[in-house]
Amino acid sequence: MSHYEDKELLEMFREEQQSNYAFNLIVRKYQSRLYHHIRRIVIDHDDANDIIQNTFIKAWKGLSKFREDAHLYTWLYRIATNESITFLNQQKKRNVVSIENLGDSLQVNQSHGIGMNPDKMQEKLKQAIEALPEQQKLVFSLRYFDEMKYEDMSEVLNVSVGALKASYHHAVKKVEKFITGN
Amino acid sequence: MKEFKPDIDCKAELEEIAPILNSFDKSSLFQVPANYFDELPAKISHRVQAKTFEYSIWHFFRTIMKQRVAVPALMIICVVAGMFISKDSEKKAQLVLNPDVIQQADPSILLAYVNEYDLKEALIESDHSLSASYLDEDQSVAYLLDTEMDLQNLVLDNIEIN
Repeated sequence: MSHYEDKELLEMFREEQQSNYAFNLIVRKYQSRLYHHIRRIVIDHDDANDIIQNTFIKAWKGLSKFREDAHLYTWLYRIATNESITFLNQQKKRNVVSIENLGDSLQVNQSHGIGMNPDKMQEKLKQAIEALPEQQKLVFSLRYFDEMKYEDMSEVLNVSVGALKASYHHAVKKVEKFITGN
Repeated sequence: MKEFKPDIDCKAELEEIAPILNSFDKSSLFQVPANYFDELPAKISHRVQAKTFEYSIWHFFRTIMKQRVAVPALMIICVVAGMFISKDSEKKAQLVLNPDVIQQADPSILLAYVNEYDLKEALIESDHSLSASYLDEDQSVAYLLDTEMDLQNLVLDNIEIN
């Protein structure tokens, strides 16, 4: 795991001879966090794998123009989020997987040993999150799993802090209700 | 530029809204294939290198395409210049000369459009005392200028013949 700070990594990236090495370190630093964020949105591992690679390719293309008044991790999260949403919108257009069939697709993933935790409560949590509206799902994912600050989430999602707090509150209540069956 | 740090208020916030959600193991929601994160950086690196190559080719063609006005214009200029540079006096005459221009042109200029053989022949025709074998270009020119020969018509005849 990289022990370099984001500022140092960007400085290294701007030096031509170290740019590949620096970018590799950035990938290693953020790959797990971004992968899980993407996976929580698109569910399927193969889709998440494609999207995270596309995310880092876009990051590589834009990194030379990256302004240091922004934060690297919120910028990466924003790319990952946009790529995931774009993917979902394309899926909707193609009508590949409907929400009603999502349970079946999760079962298929389980048969390949990827994606399913046998714990029923975990499964319920997953279904509860999947049932959330798209915006609430994103907010819940970033706050609950990544424990991201509201100010950072505001940069990622381009939504006000107040709206994010309200959205998270509603999302948490919905998930709790789904899990407890109330 | 700040680093990513989890918000320490998250758990306290959740405890107020829905304490049950604090009891879940958040890390194990999805299983990830073994060695996935060990191999992912290399996959991305390969794609980046491929993109770098594609970008350099694309950038080259974009640079060319940006000159979409200049390139065709340059080609046209080359074609036209090639026509002017051509030593084929026949083609040159067809492109450039017309009888009105010839009538008013300077003899020394018109000489450029007259075939040397035709010039000598015309000179000998006008003055049988001249011998073709002894006429070089400079002598031909000098003779023409001295005799004020009707060079314009000679040029016109040259065009018609050819």
